[in-house]
Amino acid sequence: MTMSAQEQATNLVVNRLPGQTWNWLKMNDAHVAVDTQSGTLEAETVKPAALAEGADLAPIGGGMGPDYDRWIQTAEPAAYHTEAGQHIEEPLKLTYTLKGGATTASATRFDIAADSALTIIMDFAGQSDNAAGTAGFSTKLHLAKGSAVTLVQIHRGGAGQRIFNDVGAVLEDDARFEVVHLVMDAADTYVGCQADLKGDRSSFKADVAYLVQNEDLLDTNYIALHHGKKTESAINSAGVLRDRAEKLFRGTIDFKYGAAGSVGNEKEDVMLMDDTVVNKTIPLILCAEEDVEGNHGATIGKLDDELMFYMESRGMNADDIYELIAKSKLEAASRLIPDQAVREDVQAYIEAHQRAGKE
Amino acid sequence: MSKEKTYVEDVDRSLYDFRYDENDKDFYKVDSGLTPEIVEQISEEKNDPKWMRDLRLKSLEIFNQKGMGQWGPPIDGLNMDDIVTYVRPKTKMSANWEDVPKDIKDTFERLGIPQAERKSLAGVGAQYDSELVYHNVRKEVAEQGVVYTDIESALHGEYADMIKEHFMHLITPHDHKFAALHGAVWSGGSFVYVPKGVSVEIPLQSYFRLNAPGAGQFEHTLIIVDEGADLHFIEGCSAPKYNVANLHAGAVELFVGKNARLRYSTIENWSKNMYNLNTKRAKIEEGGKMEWVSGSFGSHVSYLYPMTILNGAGAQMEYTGITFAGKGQNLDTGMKVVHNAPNTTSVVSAKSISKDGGISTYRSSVVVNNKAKGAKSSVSCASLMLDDISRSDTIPAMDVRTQDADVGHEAKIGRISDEAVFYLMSRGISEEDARAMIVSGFADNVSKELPLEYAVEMNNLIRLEMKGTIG
Repeated sequence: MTMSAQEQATNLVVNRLPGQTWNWLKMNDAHVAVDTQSGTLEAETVKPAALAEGADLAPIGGGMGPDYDRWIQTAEPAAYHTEAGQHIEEPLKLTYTLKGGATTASATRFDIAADSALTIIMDFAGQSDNAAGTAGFSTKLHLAKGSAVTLVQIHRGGAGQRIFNDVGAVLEDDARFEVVHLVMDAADTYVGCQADLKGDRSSFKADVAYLVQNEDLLDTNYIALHHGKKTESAINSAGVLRDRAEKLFRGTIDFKYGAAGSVGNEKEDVMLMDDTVVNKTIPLILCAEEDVEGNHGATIGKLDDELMFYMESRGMNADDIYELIAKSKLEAASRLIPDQAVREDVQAYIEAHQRAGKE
Repeated sequence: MSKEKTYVEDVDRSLYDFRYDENDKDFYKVDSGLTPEIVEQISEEKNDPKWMRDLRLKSLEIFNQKGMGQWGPPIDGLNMDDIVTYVRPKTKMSANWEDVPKDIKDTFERLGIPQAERKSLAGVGAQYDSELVYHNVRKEVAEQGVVYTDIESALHGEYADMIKEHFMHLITPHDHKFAALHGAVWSGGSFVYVPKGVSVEIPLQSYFRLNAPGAGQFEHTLIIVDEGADLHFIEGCSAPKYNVANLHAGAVELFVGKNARLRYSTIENWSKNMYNLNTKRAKIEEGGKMEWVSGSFGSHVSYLYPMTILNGAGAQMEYTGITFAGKGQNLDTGMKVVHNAPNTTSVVSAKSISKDGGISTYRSSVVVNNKAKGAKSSVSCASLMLDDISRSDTIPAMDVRTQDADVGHEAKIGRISDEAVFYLMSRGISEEDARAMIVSGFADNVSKELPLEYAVEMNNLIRLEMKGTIG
């Protein structure tokens, strides 16, 4: 994407792989040029009355890395906190309308008190004119002992947009952090997500679903840092690539010394719909502790022969089977959205989007 | 009940860690360091043709221009100014062990090479420091038209054109810094040519012994297996341990013809002061098959990733490997495969064991290009941690550029199951033996692919490594 003459491009290194590998693979990180003198993008906010504003957090690392944090610091952050023991049923909804012809940044901070629970839904929606623009988001959370957060982030950013989305969380004992990422649009999308499982028995789960098409790019970096004992992580990524799309999935389970009894699982399932796509996958397991269990599985390419046979024996042709399975991958993630209205809206979007992709 | 950690003792390597002091009058060596003058001196000593001398000097230029990658284990302890790149025993290569100087012959006797040759090999090449001291191939194998000789003889004999056509064409000096180093100072190694349709029934073996402290070994192995031919080649290596760094930067170039098959087995057991920065690459034509069997036990630092280019339709690759990293070792091993033609397949089974502070990294890449319709790749890697002072990392990359491919990957990291140890102990087996049995079983994928004698050697190495694992 070209930048206007007025923009002051700064080269940023984002989504750096925690364990580096051969440079020729071009998977170690992403180099991007961004106008870091950007304006702040405000969200349209539907806030539960029980949720208080303000949060005083120490710096928290994300998946995108320190270069990105320096840019995002230029935005005035929105901040929220819960009180101890407070279970807020109604989700916090933040809807961002991405601007054409501009670079904007947005930062949100959450201080989640002990034994409290919160659901956050962030919707990154593009304008109907698909105007080009760049937007950077940062969501940082501190989850105190026994707290729980479900964070849903929906990318339907508009065809001309370049979007950066960074998440970072630090979890104390018994805290639980669940992330749902649905990526369905935007020209270039960069997603970083890091959970530091600092406390014993803390857990992190990421469910990621995507449809990347046209000449779009999706570049991701999910990291689970296991510091505490008996911590658990699960990173599940499922998606579809069409046309000349390119996707790079980085997923890291990092067992630090002392994380005894911890378990980490990663799974990636990618369906390639055209012969012109580029799919890159690099799932890392880093291990400095004996008493752990780490697993990774990836399936890339065609649908399983047995599944194809079963579906074809029910009268479907191969193209329809692929379309059906592609849709089901997005819908499976959409079912994890806890708010019914948002869920239905997203499912309608998937339906329309799918139809457009087919045409 | 509190669980007690187990710690692992270092390995008894006396089988390999013996040495004979090298007397200057019996050896020719260049000064330490790397200069154009040293490279020219090696070239002069070896009576290189002009193209080879030019290649060496060009490679040196590339070496000086290239930086180190920002990945992999640190090699700060390796100072090229301290490395002697060429050490030649003052003896001629012979096809008769009786003509080999006594100390050198004794070395290979202790390593069991002549005995193995008599029992189970079709031919042997034995390299001591920078040059081969022994090379022989069985008469009946030679009569099939199989060429197995040292690469210098081939370079000056009737295969000179074949060498020129293939030498450093698959691995070029531009590949990385140590490929360039190899191009500049290579010496020794073997050339094998198996003619069309010839099947070599029993394996050929090259054994590399680096005896000189502070030296480098840069042998070049070039194997051409012609259409429909079949070969099993075994590579072994060891060195005594010194307090100074030694360097191994060999290169292995393998050309597997249409419908041919090559199995390349390696038991690598360098001493723990060795920097093993080796490069291996194979190109496989239509219907051909490449099989890598790899056991990495030695070295202080290893960078080792045999690469296969599946260049013809239906070409296949299998990689079976195990890496055992103990105290003071940082072993970065794995493989690379490029699917460059339709209906190509690759199957990878990689295992690693880390103990006593050892670091093991599995690193790989599977690239499926757009031309590789119908390609299939299956990668499985498993890592075993034997204590909590060691480290094990898995860094596998996949790059798929066609819809019509089926790529699968699975990785596991874990420890020896308490239940399995308990089960074996309940059958009257001691805990130490139970753990050793489980580890041997874990490494079974490699040992069962090796000829019996080598499987026994590998299992002995594992048993040695496992001695004293119960603290």
